[in-house]
Amino acid sequence: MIFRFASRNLSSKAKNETKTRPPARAPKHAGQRRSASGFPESTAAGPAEVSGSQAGANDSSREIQLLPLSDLPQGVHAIIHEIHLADSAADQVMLFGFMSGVEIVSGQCGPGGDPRVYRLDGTEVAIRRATARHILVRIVPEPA
Amino acid sequence: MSTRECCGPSCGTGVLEGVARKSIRTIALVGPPNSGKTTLFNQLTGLHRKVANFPGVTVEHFTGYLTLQDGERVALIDLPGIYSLNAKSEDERVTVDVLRGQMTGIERPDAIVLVVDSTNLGRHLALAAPVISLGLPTLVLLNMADSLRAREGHIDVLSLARQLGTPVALVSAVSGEGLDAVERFISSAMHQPQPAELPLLHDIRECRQWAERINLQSHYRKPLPPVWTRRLDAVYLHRLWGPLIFFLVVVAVFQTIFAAGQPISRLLQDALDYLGTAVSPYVHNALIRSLLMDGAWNGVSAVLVFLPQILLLFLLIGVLEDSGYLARAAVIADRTMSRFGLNGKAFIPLLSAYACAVPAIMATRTIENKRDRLATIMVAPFMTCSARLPVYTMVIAAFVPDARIAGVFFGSRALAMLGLYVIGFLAALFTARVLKSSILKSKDVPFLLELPPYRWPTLRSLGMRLVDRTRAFVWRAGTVILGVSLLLAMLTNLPLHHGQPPAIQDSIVGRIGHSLVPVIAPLGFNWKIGVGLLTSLAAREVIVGTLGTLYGVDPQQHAMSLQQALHSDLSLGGAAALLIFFAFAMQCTSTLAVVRRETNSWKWPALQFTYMTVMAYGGAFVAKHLVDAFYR
Repeated sequence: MIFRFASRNLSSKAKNETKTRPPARAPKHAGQRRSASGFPESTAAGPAEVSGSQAGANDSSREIQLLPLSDLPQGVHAIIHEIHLADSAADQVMLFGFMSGVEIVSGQCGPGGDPRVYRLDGTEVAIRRATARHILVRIVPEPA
Repeated sequence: MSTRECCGPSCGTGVLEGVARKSIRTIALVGPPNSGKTTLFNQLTGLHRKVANFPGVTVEHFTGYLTLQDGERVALIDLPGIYSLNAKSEDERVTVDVLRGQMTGIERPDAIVLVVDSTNLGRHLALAAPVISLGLPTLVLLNMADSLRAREGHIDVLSLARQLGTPVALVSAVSGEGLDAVERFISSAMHQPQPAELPLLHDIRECRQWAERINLQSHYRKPLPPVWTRRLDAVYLHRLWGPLIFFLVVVAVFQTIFAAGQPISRLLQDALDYLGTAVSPYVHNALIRSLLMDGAWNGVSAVLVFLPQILLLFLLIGVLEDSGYLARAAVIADRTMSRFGLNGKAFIPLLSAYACAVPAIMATRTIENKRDRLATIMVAPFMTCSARLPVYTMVIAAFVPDARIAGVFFGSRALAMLGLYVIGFLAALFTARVLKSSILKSKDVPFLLELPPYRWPTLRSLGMRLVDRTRAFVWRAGTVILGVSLLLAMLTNLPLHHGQPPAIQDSIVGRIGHSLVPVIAPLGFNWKIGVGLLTSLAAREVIVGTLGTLYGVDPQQHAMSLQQALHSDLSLGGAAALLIFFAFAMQCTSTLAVVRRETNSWKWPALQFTYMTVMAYGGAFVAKHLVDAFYR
């Protein structure tokens, strides 16, 4: 539900954000996503959030573009889509709020980028890259 | 928003108080980690249990008593924090066992006080459903009301109480605000109507959704993000500055211990010496005077003078722990730890081992994975505990000249001390690596660490630590060290030869010491150091007391200070060997006992003792010969 709410939000905002925001570091998967959706290469330097949002806003029938949480650039907002962890590990991350539909922001990290602090649900939780790799998220624009 | 809104459906049902109180005898404090249960416990009972600003400080149950206004006493059980009733780690199991009445020696509680962080209700309230469903009278305390207010959050307490069917109160355990709710709850708990029929929730997800719904209906407005925490983290967890600041913090701790600790220590030394010389004329019997003054007093005061340094260490660790920086340090250190196979959660126990290995080994209970926990227990004694501090300080002060390196900030002695701490840490990492790639292999488990908002350390909490530490330290000096010193002083005077005490080398202590010489001579130690090593098996700092006694009794070294006497006894290589020996050796019966208890077998402490002793001997041998080769 939250998920649909988020993408509805975007359709109105996505356009002006493309112009005003400085380009953010694009995640690894963003490039593939863009070419798949047929955007011209020249827009590939646009903000990372936008590519995700447009994918969501443009059509609802197409498969949602996901990336591992570990690839989410710092400061970018996303929504957790699914968690691919063994049951016990999934339970554990769930206790800390990592559940599908929850909004998450990538924060500061330890030296070398691991572990990273994520803000979700009003708290900050540090997890290692090895775990974050198995959590898939969808980038959304920053709420106003 | 009023904090007196403590009220449930039962407000005002204080009529049958007398009857109710008889039935409530034990109350359990339950809640998620770092929600402030122990702070509340201390407020209510007047006790001094350790609190800090990171999850997992309390790892065992502890009972205190709360005296009600009419003088009646109710037992209050402080419990480790839990995220759910499905216990994964040892500390969580303690809580669940107590709640289910399965903990031996503890009665099943009659009522529950659920403590949750009001600034984080989305997550914390998810615990309310399973806890309330236990069917015991429950009071829900929304702690940290002050933070909630400051960050402009809001909750409708009455409405929440209606939803949950239990009394609810907004409180601040730190300031004590709203805590009268607890007493009101006790007096009326038995007359609460049955809690509202809660839906049956099967998993965490359902609990969370339920909590969201309840929060929504109680008009919960999430507090604004903690601005200062964000700002500080932008620096403390910065890619570049973060590790640099971490390093500077560590160096500053040691520099403070030396720069500020030593002058205070010297003053204390003078005061103790003065006290000794002032009292000694009143002891008329020469033999007894020699026993008490040269023996016992020298031994005890040699150790007591290190109190300022130890208190400084605890003060600084306390500031780091209470402010919340420790959790950030864990994030910075995690990569190194993981490379050596250590669980991310191992960092906090290992860091607290800088104070003492015993609580550190207890703190490993928060590590879910058995093998990871064992590995952490095995390496914890390598971390430089505060009992090593007097030994290090004594030797360093005697052998390392006081020089300034790199400007005024780094002293050579602080640097030498830092080096020893690093050596201990490296030994721990190396051992972890060996264990994790051999007998304690295990699969990786997710490392999750909640970073609490920064808080100002409270003077009360810091003061409590210092008072407790002083008490423990003085107690040890007054019992173990006094006992050992007296015994040694007596044994240096025996056996009597024609009614005269023997020369010190021929006394019983001398003979025991000399019998050790073949073993310790390769390390550059003489018989006195040997006796010190022997007595330090009880506890590390006893060697300082022992040397104080032996030098005090020995006429040749009587007039020297401890440092001078040590200088006349040890070569530079021997001093290095002594330091390395203490860095690695497992000379602490309390640690062995706690490892035995926590692992439930003699195998691990035996392995640990053997391994560490071998490493200490080998390391000391190498250190002596290296130093001798370079400085000859």
